[in-house]
Amino acid sequence: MPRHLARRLAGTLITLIVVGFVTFVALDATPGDAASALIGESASQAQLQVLRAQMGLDQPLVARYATFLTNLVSRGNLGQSLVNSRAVSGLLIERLPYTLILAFTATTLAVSIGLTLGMIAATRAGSRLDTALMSGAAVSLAVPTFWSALVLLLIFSVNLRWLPVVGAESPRHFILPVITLALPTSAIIARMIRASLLDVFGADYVRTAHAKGVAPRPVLTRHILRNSLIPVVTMLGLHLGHLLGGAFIVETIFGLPGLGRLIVQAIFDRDEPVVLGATLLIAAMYLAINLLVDVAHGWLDPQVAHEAV
Amino acid sequence: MLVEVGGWKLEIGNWIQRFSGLRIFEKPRKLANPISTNLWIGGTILIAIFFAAIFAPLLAPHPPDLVLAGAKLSAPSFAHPFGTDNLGRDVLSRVLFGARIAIGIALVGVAISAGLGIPLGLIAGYRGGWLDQGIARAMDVWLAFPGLLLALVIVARLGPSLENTIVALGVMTAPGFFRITRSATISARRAMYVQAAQAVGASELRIMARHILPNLASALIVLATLRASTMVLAAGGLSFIGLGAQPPLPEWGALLASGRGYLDTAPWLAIFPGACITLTSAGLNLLGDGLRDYFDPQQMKKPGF
Repeated sequence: MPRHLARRLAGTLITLIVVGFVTFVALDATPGDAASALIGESASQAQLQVLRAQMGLDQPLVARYATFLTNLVSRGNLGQSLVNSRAVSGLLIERLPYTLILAFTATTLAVSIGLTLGMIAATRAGSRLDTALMSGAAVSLAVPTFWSALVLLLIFSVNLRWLPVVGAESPRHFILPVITLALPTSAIIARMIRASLLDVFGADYVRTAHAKGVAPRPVLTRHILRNSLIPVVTMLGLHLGHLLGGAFIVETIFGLPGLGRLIVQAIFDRDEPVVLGATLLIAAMYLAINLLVDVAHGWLDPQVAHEAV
Repeated sequence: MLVEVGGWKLEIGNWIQRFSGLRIFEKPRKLANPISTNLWIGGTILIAIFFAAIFAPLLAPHPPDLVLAGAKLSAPSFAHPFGTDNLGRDVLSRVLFGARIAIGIALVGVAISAGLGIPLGLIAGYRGGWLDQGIARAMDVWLAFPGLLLALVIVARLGPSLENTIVALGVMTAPGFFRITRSATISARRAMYVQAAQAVGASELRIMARHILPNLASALIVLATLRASTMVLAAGGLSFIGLGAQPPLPEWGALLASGRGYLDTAPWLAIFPGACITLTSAGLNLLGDGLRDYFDPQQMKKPGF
């Protein structure tokens, strides 16, 4: 492991620090800084200067980012919200579970649907069923989540009254958001696994396996499936990250108090510390998932591990 | 590239060449590739949307912002095929004018994205060395923002509006164009035709623009089409939660958002704009897939079972 993983880990950390800096710079340039937001319109220029000095806002940008990072690493301190003066880290910990549950449940559901349909389509490639499944996948990729969410709400909550409309009190509240997010994801997975399977079906080692008389089932599970999973795992990692950063629309519609909703509300409130903290957390999770995917990649495809050493 | 469709012969190659100035089709092909169903359906949908956008003032029964007295929240009828909204505006008219905004989002957003990604990719790929390393690293950081997160940060910086959303989405999707251009440029750098151009003393700019870029055109056109679909969806999403187009702009995502509160009494407010976004996005996806098969027919002949 060790060497190439250590190098990847270091690279990931550096990327994360730069991502934080980019966000820091982007948000810092906002007209009206934290001090003037805190002190209000009526304060004099002199009072503002004092407060700015107190908050360290008169320091150069790089120095302030260094302070921010030191606080983060030494005390897990991400600053406090400009709106309600709560610690940003506390807010993030409170909101994180909702987003995690949503993203992981949706991904699990999407993988089970996508794998099944993709395999069915690939084994019957060219048939009517295949065409129907793939057209269905293409269309569901085009359906915006904010629309499918509303249509699902209209059917199951408003008309049938089977499921609650908004909130996050019970598992039942998660059913519609999870389905909404899983729909396009399963379409992507189905398309991907189909293409990947078709690639592998024609490979020499599969023909060899058939030729030397391996039973069809082991050929499918051991030779075909394992190899065709490689691109899917890579894509899945990327996609899980995208769900973490992109679930804000679904969270907003269903009133789930997750990270995405936190960011959107913070943008409306011009609450920069919260935007920065949440962005960093999401980017960190995304990079961590990609790192894990690389490890899984080495396990699925031993060639990768050998090359890297 | 002669395309024969139901007795109509279309010289698409010349046509694209004349309008873009790009010499896409260097070698005349003997046989045109078959036009796939995807290309047909996607193309038809897009032509319909362009038609709706261009002739919106003629097609729309009412001006998009006109408040019709005594017609609040009326259900779809002969007078108002898509119904009216909570202020009494004709939804069909607003949706038709929304097509203009959607096309604007797609064109401007893709132009920004391609305008950033393609030149950077050409320079990084052609020059190589530290410049390439530097730009590629910067793009890695760019890509470390998952999903719409980078767009959210940019909108947080610039403030919520349709223009800022388009800029944010353009910037966010630039790495896709960068990667494709860079990798193709690296392989083209050693090609005979580039060496020949270098030998006769063509400038770097000329080699990149006139020799390398045209070879990339088909891949870039496919990517641009698929990215346009992403843009329409993402801009609609940002507008829907209030970070994009602001009312009274008849942007489809914003229309959908304003219909959200009337889901139980007036579902048509949410259904029609959403259907338009889906149709546009599906049309672009199909067109992109179709164009990819068209430009690269080898892909379709993958070994089956």
